[in-house]
Amino acid sequence: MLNYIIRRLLLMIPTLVGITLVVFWVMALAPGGVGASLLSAEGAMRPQEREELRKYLNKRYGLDQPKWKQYLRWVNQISPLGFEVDDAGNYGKFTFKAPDLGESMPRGRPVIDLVAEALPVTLLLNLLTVPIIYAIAVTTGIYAARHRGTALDVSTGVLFISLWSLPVMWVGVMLIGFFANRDIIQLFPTGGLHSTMADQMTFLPRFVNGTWERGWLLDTLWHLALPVICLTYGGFAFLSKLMRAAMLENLAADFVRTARAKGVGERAVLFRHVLRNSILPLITVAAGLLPGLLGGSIIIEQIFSLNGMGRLMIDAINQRDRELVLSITFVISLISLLSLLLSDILYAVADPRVSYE
Amino acid sequence: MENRFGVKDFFLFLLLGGLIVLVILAMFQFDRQWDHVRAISNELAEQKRTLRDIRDLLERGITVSTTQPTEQVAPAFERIAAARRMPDFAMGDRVVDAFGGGVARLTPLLSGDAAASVVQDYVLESLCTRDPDTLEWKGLLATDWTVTDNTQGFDEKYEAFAAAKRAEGLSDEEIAHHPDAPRSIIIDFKLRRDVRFSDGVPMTADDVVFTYNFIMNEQIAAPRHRAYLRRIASVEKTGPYAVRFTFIEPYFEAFELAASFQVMPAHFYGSFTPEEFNQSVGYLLGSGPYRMPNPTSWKPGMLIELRRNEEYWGVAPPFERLVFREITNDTARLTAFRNGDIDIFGASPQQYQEMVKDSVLVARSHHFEYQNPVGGYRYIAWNQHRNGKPTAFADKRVRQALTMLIDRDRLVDEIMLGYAVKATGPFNPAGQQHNPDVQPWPYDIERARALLAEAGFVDRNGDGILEDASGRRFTFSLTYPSGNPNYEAMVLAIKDAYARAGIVVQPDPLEWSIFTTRIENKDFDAITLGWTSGIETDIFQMFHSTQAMAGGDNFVSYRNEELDRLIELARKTIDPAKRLPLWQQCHAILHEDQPYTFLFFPKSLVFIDKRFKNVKVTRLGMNPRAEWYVPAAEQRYTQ
Repeated sequence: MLNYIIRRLLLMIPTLVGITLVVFWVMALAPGGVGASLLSAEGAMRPQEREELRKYLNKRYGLDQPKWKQYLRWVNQISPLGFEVDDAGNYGKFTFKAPDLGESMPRGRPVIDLVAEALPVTLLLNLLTVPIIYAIAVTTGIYAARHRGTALDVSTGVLFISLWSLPVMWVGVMLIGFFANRDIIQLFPTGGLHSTMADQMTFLPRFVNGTWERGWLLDTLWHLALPVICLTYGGFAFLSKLMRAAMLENLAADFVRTARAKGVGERAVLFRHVLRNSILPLITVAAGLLPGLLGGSIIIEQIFSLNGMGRLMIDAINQRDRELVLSITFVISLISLLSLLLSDILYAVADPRVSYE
Repeated sequence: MENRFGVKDFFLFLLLGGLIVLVILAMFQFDRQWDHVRAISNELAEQKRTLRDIRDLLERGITVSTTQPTEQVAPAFERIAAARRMPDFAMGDRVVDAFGGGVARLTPLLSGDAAASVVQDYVLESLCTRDPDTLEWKGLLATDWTVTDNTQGFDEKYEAFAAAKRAEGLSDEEIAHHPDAPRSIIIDFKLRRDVRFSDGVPMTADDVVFTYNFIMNEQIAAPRHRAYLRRIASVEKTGPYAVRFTFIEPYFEAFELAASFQVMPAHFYGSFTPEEFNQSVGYLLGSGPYRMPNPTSWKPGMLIELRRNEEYWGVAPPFERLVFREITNDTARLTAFRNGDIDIFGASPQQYQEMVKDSVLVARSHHFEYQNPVGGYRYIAWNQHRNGKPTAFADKRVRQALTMLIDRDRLVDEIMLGYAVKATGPFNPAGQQHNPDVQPWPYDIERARALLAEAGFVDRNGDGILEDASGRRFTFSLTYPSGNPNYEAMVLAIKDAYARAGIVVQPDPLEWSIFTTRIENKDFDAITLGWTSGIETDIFQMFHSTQAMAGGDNFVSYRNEELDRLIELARKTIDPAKRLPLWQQCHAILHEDQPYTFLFFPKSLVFIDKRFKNVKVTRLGMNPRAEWYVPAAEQRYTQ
């Protein structure tokens, strides 16, 4: 097993190199360079300073060097084993060093700071959505498998698939238009993470001067309600159907017949025998979810004005912010590969028949 | 006995997980408390310092004089003082505004977007401001100024000097900054003595000089500002409260450049290394009526909230806080305005038309449509030179004909829904550069056809499309930025208009970065875009023949010697009485030559919550928020 893990870890390196090479070359070949960062608010151009800005950026980031040199410079920067670079750009010895994700060119800030600001919002959203999706999908999947063919099975199937077919951008705007609108019914706020008076609030809800105040914690959750609804509703269908199919397959197996013949109760058959076997496809899917957790959802973030990783990535692409795009892609690819490895290991743990020797 | 993982273990894990979550939440709460405690202790420290200053003053003794104070309220505050005299005036409440995009940084000089400068304008102050109605300059941080105009015969004097210095081997750059070089314009400002930054430190001439040197420091990431300030030879301190701005060559905007110079505190910004400054996001401290709650700690994603500066040296503004939220989605922003979550809403023509019909909304808010002097105009630019050869648009008659084929009144009515003013040139019709004698080209298909026939474009084979002498059809691509519904509707209308005359137009939407690259390389037939303008626009960049080089803003390669001469002369003329007629002559020439087809100047459309009083339209747009107020009974945010 250890052998297997080490082999997989080493195989990650050429994959990562390949990914970064492709992304780098696509960004380098894409038309429209730093000009995108000169976008003025209304789409009208500013009649000055373009040349100054370009000269400045070339000097600072070495943008006028040949592309392959720039790529190698970036690889050296990001690798934990490489040549040390000091502030003036001189190269030192080949040694272990801290990987440096670089600096975003149009914004002039270190990438790690930008990611550290955007990541918590995305993580918060996803850590709320994923358990909800799983809880609902798994329970309905189990129920549907057990009562196959009944009205409940068919109706949940139809419901989830129709929810899945509703496009997120439309649903998001509709939810705001109907449930966040004073003219119709205002159950939720229109967007953002906090209310205007949020920093005056106490943490937990309490009565202040006779009126009930929401408190900071509930206020944040209230703001997250609509985005979480938008993120979850489409996820039930796939997982629920997967769970149902896996369980049906196992319910028809011989060992279940044996267990029933033995006299094991229906509930025990379901939860102790069938479930353990059906959960394997879900583990595979769950491991694939981890990169999605970090990638964020650009549409939801745009509609609800949340500053998450999705917004960061799309802004970076539009501005041709090469360092930021490369760094985020690199981090997400690394996490994807690690989570694939993790799912393989969990597979071996969950199913004793699987072995990697 | 087997200890299987059962239900009880599941609940145990759930409980454990719950405890961990609660601990993390508690850590959040401690952080919030800590921020509050720190803010309180900062305020206490400031109060202690103020008390100590007062005690020192008392111990030294104060003489009570019976004469009037020598420094009056700055003339810039007359309008605010007038608002305060209104019967229902009350201090308090907040203004909540929303930006359509995220603000990446608030540090001055580094931030590029318009939203950041809106916030910075409340915290930093300039030497003078323009009166919103008379457009005259009124002193803000400066009380007085004298302008020494050496522009007479300046060119000869400078050339003589430069020739002598070149003979000594100096470069042009060194000659320009040589201490003995003749100077065209010298402006001496006298500063107020009672200005304090929001942390209590007094402002002196050193801060003005520091700001100039700071911007010109090549290590600071402010190349745009440096480009603006390259005309200045030096900014020197001529006394503890006096500065002198010296300009290299005569330029009509010299005074504006100096007067709108925002003064940054030396003691604050000087304490950072250039690297720290370049990487900062929220270092904002100034002498203005509002301040950031903490001058260093803002990060993008945090709410932008400006608190009233209680140490402000001038007349305090009425609003206790200004809040700037960030709502990217248009519909969400409109809903937020309807709900009363935000107080100001800038509408597109379609939204405005819908909103004006909504009686509930109209009852709850003021709405305004006005001509913004810094609002720009939309145009179609005809590329006259492509791939080394002149194009069909190089012929003036073709351009005039193309302008006459567009019914601009209809564009204004149907696409801008009437919320725009037809343009005849690059100058705002409400401004003084606009030539009132210039009449717009009429919408006249016959006359246009005749002109095109003169230029050689006739339908030779009866297929309904014009061809030139060699039989090539008159077809071109109209390039515009994609993703903007306004442009799309306009381009389709133009395509239709030209089809009637037998010209085939191919709409060519491009993503913004690619669009700018194509323009720089002059690789296009025609584009439609907009320029922003100002109270007085300098058209040198766009229409002077020297700017037709690669990367310049005269990307249509337009050349007219008479226009060049007039532009150069106007830029050097300091006296507006002599300069404005020159701009008007330029307008006439541009109208005749039509290097662009000038389309229209869009109007600004805005809805503002009704509780704000004294909201007016001025010649500079909406009047400043410091002049608004909310009567005590109608205040919404009271804390």
